[in-house]
Amino acid sequence: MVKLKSNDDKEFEVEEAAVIQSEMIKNMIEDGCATSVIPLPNIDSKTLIKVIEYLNKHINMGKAAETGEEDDLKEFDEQFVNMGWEELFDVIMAANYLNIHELMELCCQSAADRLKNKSVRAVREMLKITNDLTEEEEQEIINDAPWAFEGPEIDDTVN
Amino acid sequence: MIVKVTMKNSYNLPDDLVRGILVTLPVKSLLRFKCVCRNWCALITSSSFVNEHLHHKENPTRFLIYTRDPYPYISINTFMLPEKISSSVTPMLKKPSYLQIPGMLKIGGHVDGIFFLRSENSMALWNPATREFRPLPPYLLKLCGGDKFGFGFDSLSCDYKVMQIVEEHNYVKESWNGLAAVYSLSNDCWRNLTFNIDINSKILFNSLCSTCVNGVYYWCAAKATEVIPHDTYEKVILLVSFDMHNEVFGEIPGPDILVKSLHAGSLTLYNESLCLLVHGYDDQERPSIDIWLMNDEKLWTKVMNVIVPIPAYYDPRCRGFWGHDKVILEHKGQPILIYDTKSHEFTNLFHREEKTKRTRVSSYRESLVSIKK
Repeated sequence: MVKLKSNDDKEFEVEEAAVIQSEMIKNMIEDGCATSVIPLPNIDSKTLIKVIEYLNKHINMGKAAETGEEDDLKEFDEQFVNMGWEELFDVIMAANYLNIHELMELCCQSAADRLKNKSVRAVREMLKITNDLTEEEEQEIINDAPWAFEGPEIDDTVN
Repeated sequence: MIVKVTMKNSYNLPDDLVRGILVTLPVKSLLRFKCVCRNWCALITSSSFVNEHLHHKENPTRFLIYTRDPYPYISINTFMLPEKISSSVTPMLKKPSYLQIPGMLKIGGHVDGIFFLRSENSMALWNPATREFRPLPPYLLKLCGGDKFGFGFDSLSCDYKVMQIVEEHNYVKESWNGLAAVYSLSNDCWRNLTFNIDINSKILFNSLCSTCVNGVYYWCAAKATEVIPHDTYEKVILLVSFDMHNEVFGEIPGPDILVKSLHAGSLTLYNESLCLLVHGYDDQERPSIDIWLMNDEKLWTKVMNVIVPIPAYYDPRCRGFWGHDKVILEHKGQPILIYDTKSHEFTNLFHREEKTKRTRVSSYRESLVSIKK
C-alpha cells in the first residue's frame, strides 16, 4: 500500500497496482522515494478521492478487454466525468500533476464535448471567461468565417 | 474604441490545459472560439496548435472522393465517405455543398487538408475545413494539354509549393524539352526552374495524389527503349524527383521490371510510403495490379498483387487505397468499387447511373492551416 496526503492533511491508502498509473508516483516508487507518506501539495482531499476512485477502477485495465469488462469500464468513465466544471478542472489539474495520461485525456475530452457546439457567449459564461477583445476585433474574427457562427447545432444554453 | 479589462478565466486553468481541451475540437468550433477571448484566439491561431490539431488522433482521417461532371465540365464534385464502411453495403455518400467547387476542373494534389485546384486557365488553393479559397497568380509557363503538376510541403522553409512541368516541342531540332516553374505560397509568386531531365522518348504522368515523401516530390515516367536485334521496344518505369527545398530535379530508377504499356504505372501513397501501381494482366488475361513500395534507400519491394475479377475489357484502374487492405477501383462506365483484398469482396461506392470519369480519392483531415493572403 502507498500513502498519499492531500493539501488539507488527509491521508489515503492506495494499492500500489492502482497508484502506479500515475507516472509521477511510479517514478517515486522506483527511485525509492515513496517509503513514507507522499505529500500532494496541489491536490485537495475532495479531488484526491475522485482520482483514487478512478485509479482503483482502472487497475489492470489491460485485462478488461479479455474479461469483457470493457463496457463496464466505459460506463464507469461516463459516470465519472459527470461533474461540474470546477470539479472537472480540479481533476484535470490533478491528473496533469500526477501525470495520469488516460485520466487527463478522459477529462479533456469530456470538457471538449461539452464545449463543442456552444455559442461564444455560452462558453464565456460557462468557463467564467471575461471577453477582452474589442468589438472591432470580434467582428473581424466573425467576418473571417461567418458560417462558423451559424448552424442548427449551435447551442446558446449554459448547461 | 472600447478596450475591455483583460482578465484570465477565473478557474485559473493553465494555458497548456486549455490547449489539451481545445485541440480535440473540430475546425468549426475552433474558428468560433477564436472569439471567446484574446488568449484563446492567440492559441488557436498559433502554428504549433494548428500542427498539433492536424495530427491529433481525435481528428480522424476522412475519405473524400472527387470526380468531375460529365462534359461540359463545370465543377468538381466531392463526396465524403462515412468513417466506417461495411463490406458489400453501398455506403451513404455525403455531398455537402461547401465541398463543391464550381469553375474548377481538377484537384492536382492535397497536403495537410489543403487542396491544389486547377481549371483550364486558373489555379487556386482551397481549405475545405476553413472554407478559405485562394486564387493563385497566373501561370508563368504557357499551358499545353499534358502539363504536369505537383503540390507539396517544404518542411525546411515551412512553405507550400506548386510545381509545373511543361513539355515543349522544338520543331527545328525535332526534339522535346521540358520547362518547369514553381510557385511558393509564402512568396506568392512563380519562378522559372532549370529542368535538366531529358524527356525525349519518355512520358511523364501526374500522380494520383500529392506524392511527396521526405521532402521530395515524385512523378512517374515511362520510357521505351529500342532493342535493335528484334526491332521491338522495352518499356521501363522511372521516376522524376524534385527536391522541395533545393528545387532541383533528378531521376531515379523504378522497380527492375519491364511493362507492356507505357501507361502501366501510376504513382500514389500507401501508408505514407511512395507507392507505384503497375497495371497489367496475369497469365489468364485477368487484370492484375502490382503494388510496389519504395523505402528510404530508394529501393523497391513488391508488397501486394491484386487480381481483379473484372473483365479486362473494362480496363480497371486502381485510384488509391482505403485503409491497409482495400483498393479503390474505377473502370469504364461502371460504379466505383472498393475491393477488399482480404475477403475479396466488392463494395459499390456509386450507383450505376452516376457514370464517373477521372475519379480521385484522398484521405483527408480537417486542418486549421491558413492560406489567406
